[in-house]
Amino acid sequence: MMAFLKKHFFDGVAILSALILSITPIIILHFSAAKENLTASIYRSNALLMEIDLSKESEERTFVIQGAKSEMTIGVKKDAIAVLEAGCLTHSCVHQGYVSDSVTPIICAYNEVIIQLSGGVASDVVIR
Amino acid sequence: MKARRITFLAMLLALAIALGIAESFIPGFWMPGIKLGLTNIVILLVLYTLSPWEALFITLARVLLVSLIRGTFLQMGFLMSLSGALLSLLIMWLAKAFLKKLTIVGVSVLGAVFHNIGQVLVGVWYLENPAVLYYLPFMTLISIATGILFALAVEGILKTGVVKHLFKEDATH
Repeated sequence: MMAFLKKHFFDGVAILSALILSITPIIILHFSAAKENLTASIYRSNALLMEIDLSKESEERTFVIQGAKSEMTIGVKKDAIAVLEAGCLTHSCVHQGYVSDSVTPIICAYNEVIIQLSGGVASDVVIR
Repeated sequence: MKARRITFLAMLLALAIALGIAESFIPGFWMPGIKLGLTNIVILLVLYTLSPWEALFITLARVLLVSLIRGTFLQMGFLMSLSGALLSLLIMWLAKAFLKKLTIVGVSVLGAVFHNIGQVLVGVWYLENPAVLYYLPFMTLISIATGILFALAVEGILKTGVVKHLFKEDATH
């Protein structure tokens, strides 16, 4: 046992360092996330496509946007947004489901679409 | 010796390609572009049995051929795969060469972590948005586990002595 620990001591240092470097941001992100009065910003190829005040959404609704390569169906409800359909191969963005905090983005790399939420004061303006 | 070495390399390249295509069918959960890095098993094996240059050859050939087969050449997936693979190989080679107190486990974990860093950095550059950085901590956690598993697999292969035996026979002919 001692021989094993001695042999792998520096491996343990490397693994522990990687663990600390990965867990610390996760904890910080979790505690800094806003979950109310969210505004969703939808970017396509790094250009802002639209902003939606999710705090004003009362019922679940869907709409379609044009991504860089295919159409995407977006679902919105109170303080949450999701990609419901996309033309990409992996559907990572679809599997993610509804996102309802300000630190978790939705990314469709295939369509170059990024949805980012920000929390703050509720706005009466919806820019489309 | 040369013919045997080339044949061995070719077989490893074929294995790396097969693993590269196979892992593309494994769902990346909710993280775009994430791969388990199964091909790191082959790269580790080459690094510890042959030379870093041959590991570089396998890395470049694997990324190129898999992207051509999948039709993703020069797209974001190809660029992420290339950057991750090259950064991972560089770090593993440096760790093996200069951090002598690290065993294959430590080298593999470092390679896996930096594989993700390379992928994410290119993702940020390509999408021109730092949002991709959000996934890095989660990818790092997974890569620690896969790095340890792959290192144990390669260590097991090395312990059998089959690779040494493969090249030893040439010395007696």
